[in-house]
Amino acid sequence: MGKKAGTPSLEAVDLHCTRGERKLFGALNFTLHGGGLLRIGGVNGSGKTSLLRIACGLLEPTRGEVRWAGENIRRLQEEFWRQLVYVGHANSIKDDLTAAENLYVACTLAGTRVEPARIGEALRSLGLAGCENLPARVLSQGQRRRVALARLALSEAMPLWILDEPFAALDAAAIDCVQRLVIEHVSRGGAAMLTTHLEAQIAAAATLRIDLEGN
Amino acid sequence: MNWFKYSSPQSFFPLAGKLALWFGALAAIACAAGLYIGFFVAPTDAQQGEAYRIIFIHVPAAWMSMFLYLVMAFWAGLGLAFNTRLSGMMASAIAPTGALFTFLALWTGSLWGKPTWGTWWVWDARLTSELILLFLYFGFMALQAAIDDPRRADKAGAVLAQPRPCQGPDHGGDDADRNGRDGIRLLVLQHRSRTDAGALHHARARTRK
Amino acid sequence: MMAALRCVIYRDVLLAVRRSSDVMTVLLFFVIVVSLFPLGVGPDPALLRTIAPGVIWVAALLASMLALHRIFASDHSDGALEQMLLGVTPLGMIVGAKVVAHWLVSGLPLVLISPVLALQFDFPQQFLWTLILSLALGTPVLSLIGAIGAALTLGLRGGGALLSLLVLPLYVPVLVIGAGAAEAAVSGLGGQAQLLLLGALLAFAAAFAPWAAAVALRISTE
Repeated sequence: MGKKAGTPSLEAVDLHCTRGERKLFGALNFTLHGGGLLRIGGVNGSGKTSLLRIACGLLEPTRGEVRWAGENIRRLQEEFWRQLVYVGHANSIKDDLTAAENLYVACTLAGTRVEPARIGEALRSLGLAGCENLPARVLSQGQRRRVALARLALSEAMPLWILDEPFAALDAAAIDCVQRLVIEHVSRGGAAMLTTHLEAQIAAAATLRIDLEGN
Repeated sequence: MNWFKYSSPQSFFPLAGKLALWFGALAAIACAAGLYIGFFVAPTDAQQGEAYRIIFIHVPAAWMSMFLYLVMAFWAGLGLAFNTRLSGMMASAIAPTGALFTFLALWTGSLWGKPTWGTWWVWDARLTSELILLFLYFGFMALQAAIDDPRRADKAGAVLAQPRPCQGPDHGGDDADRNGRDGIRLLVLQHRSRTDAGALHHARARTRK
Repeated sequence: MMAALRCVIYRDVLLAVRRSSDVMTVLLFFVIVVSLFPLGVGPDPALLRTIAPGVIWVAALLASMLALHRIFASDHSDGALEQMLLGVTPLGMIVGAKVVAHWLVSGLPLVLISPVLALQFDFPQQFLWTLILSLALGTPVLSLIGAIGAALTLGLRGGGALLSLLVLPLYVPVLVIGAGAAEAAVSGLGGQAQLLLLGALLAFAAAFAPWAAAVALRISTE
């Protein structure tokens, strides 16, 4: 996976993060180009989620900045978020909406226009055929996670994917499916950044790896 | 002299420690002098007798309560805009003092009101707005107390404190009607900072009296 | 952008309708509180007629406050709020849309049921419109100001009581002007001044509150 022209790169410059009284990491630098897959490793509590949130712009680093295409993301704001898909720890799924409605809302908020047909397709590709019109309340943990990840199947246009533990609570078939989505995305020239404990195909595909020690 | 070097808590703290004693002594002297002049030197009032002397505590307390709110909002806002830790600490430190002055103003006001107007409390514009100011201070302190992370507490307090200065008590002058619902109407009409229509109605209210 | 805002309003109203017990509770609270006053102060009709606008306004204010935490709390706990923070629509506009949806399910029912309650207090019929209009202008202001408080206290312990403490002092001008409108109408002065002031407050709040709440949301979710 070489650097593909066209996708801007995500640069972290001298990132420091202190949460409460704990210093999580300091002087962190990396550059993620298009076509690259960055894997963040580290023990629990080492700051992986904080790093992902800083990269998204949800959290402000204690020092340092994150740049997209050379510009500080805090200045870009919506322009940067238009090109980003973030799937966090929490599923962002409303219990009282159906799987299809949840996916539709998620895409509309992200600025992607989707036809209902494609929503059904995306849910089916993650093994949720038949669950489209069930309220999320009755779905299992794994199924809810898959609804959250179904966004990825509709996000080819977004160059940057940031995923926090995407494989948590998934069974083998779903893990394969999501891995395939990520690898396809990266081979198309997109950039992806994720945290996972899974030592499998995805680890081999990673072009860049950062391990946080934690204090 | 580079003043900005004191904008970090680490360098400010020793300086504050050194100056605190001197400021405390100055304050004690000024307080003693003021109280002496107020209680012993100033002549007895023709109408109110000796009871009026509480004005020497009441008015400065009221003035300080409002002034400190603006100062607090200023520093909190500065901390929010420039992300400086010391500004937030300043705002948090001012809040309890401001609340104390507000409480003093209300309490001494009551003590003054009983012998002069015959009642401990009246729901007129100035008293009510001073009471609301006390609640604003309490809200600010409660919000900061509820948040563990000091940076989030500073920023949240700053957002809370901002709209208030334009809603704060507006002393429309001594000709304001002191009692009853006319006062409430005047409170309504005194919110000039919210709308220009208010100024027009303020004029109408005066003529109507 | 309008599509996203319409989607947010539709989503929030849909969620409220599907979990309608939340909405009904607030409405019932309003009705019960208003009914408590005659029990507390005695059934003297002249007294009740005088206190009617004030009582209805205070009850509407308290019922409004009860519903406030719902604006952001559930989105915050299931992560949907983060997606809004990372959306392409400016956060201030999304907050505005959420407040509109919140008012539609929490404020509008109060406005619609208020004439019934006012008649219970034998409030003169010819001035009912002033009361309804004052509530219709005032309850959105309460929702807007309350959204700032809700955003500031997101995820904090002691949330509900703390939210009330923060928001009630800001509610006081709205209460004074709103209740004053109906009272002025009854006393013959006409409530236009207060209604105009309420309109101005609404315009002011609509312009500034969503952005203040957006800033507060970013602070609270860090």
